[in-house]
Amino acid sequence: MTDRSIRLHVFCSVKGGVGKSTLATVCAKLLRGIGRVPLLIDCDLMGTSLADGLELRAPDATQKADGSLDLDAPPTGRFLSVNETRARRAERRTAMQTEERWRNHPHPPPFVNDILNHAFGYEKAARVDALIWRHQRDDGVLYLPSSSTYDDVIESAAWFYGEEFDWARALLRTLGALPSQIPTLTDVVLDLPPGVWGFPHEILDLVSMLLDPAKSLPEDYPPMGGVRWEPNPFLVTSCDPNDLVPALEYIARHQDVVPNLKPVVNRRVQAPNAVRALARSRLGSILSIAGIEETIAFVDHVPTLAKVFWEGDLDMVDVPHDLIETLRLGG
Amino acid sequence: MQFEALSPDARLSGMRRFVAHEPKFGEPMDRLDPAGFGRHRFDHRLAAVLHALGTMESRLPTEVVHEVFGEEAASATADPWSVSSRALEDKLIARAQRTHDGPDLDSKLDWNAPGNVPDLALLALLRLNAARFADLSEEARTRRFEALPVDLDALSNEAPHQLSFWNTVLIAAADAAQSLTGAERTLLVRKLGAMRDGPKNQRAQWLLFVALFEAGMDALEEEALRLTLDHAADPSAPTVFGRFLLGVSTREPTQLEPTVEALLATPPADGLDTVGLVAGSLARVVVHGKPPAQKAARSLLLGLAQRSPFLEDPRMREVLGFFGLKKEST
Repeated sequence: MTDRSIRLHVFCSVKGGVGKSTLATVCAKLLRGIGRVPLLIDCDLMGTSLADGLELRAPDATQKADGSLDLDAPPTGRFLSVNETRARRAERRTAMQTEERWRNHPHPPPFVNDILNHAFGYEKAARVDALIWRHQRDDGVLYLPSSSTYDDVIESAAWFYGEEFDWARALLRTLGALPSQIPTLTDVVLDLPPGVWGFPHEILDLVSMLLDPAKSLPEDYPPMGGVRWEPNPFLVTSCDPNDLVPALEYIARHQDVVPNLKPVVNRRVQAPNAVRALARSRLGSILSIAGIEETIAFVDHVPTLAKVFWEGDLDMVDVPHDLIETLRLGG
Repeated sequence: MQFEALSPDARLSGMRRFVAHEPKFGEPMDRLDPAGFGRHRFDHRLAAVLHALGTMESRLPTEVVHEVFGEEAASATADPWSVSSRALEDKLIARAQRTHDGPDLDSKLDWNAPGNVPDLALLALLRLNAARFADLSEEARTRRFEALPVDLDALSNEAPHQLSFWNTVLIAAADAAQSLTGAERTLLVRKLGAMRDGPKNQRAQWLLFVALFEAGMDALEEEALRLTLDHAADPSAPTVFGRFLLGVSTREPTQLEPTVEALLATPPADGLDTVGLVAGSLARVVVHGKPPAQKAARSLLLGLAQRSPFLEDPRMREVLGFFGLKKEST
């Protein structure tokens, strides 16, 4: 193992719509703003995509003779415009609906779905460096968005609920290839699907192994690229008790294995004191004494952060500086 | 629409009566009249806003809601919506850090709250987000510590709103003890040590001495433990004892068990909830302790669950389940 380390920022949530993707995106942009080289991987494959929310340009990746993506080819260095990217996405949607062969061959533009599928099916990582997307304004963040087209989401749902698909190893295989494929890479930001079971739980389990120097990955796990991975996990929640209570319970339950899993409340309607009081009242008499609600970090600036999706972009000058502290990006 | 429903004569008559109440130009008629404002005088408008901010996120007592708004409103469970934001808190911090001097800057009204703008801003800040106390400047915090009354018990009859203000400040200071400077900690110990005898004064000493011990003031250990035992039946005892145990276990995790056993060997005070006190405080170590302390606390909880009175108490199963400790025990 080399002296090189890569920080692994993980964003998960009990339910969707709590601002997890927004925070993950802001995290990546903040990292770039402080001079690091982040890769944002959109693992939320259940219906939304950073490619739709942000002004992203897909790579003009190498295609095989049949028009499908060659996921083992080196980077071309070329990128499509935003409009070309959207047109290509529409072509992919139509092709998957009308031609059976596209269910087994990746149609441009490349999404993280294709990369995970490749890593699972061929038991080797794709050339991720050739499949990275860029922002229209070239903000310096490297993007791997998921696909939100109907057939891709249906396939992902099958991975979740039915078919045998080894999420953890597919992702690990991909992560393990990054240090050599992107020598300047310093950070990976994972935007996980909603829920703290299945794939997200497996990733948090991986985080627990990476956090404990006494632990080593199981022998049948793919190698992680010969670098030290430093996890920085967050459980994003809202003020809604349906969300807040199970989030805190998950953190308590896994506190011994993922001690730095930080609850982050996207505060909209209730002040910190009120949220903490709510948590105490719902956790029961003794558990309220434990003070797990005191570990909650609060993020407001909702209008500013929402610009990421409303306007497809976020200027660093708009980003409140205390977010760097909340997201543990300093030092 | 109501206005249009009146007859023209009634409207005219009403407007004439209204105009008759118009204040004369140039003379401040009341404390909210802008003609009476000035930088050297108490700003009632700002004070009114701060006072409102400090109470906006609190629910009125049910009996008050029932009397004013009726039974339906009194039985509603909805919490007040937040008026708070980071930007607002930053503004409150800026106001709370300002000095105030001169009698004209004190309110002449009965606010049932601090009579000056900086303290009103501080109270509003702490009620919206008590954790921001740590973000005040050292000077602003020190000014409040210097002004601590020597007798909180006397305030409970003379000026209950002042007692409420100082309790809020002291609790925030205890929560922020790790962030206080050495000079602030020493000042607090001196001021608290100079307080008169009395239950409220002793309780303040207890909360702060334990917090300061946890924050690293070794010399307070004996006094913090004595005060904890004196207050074992206090509703806050599990939280404060948890803080004491955090202080002990941070220094030496192996001391956690003897400290708990010593407490259990002490004759219990009347009404003491031993299980709540011990299990709750150990749960606090599990959440907030360093890994060796967490491990010791988990092990201790599992051991206690095997013996009386913990064995019979269903809350122990709740605690073990919450932290997934059964998993470790099998």
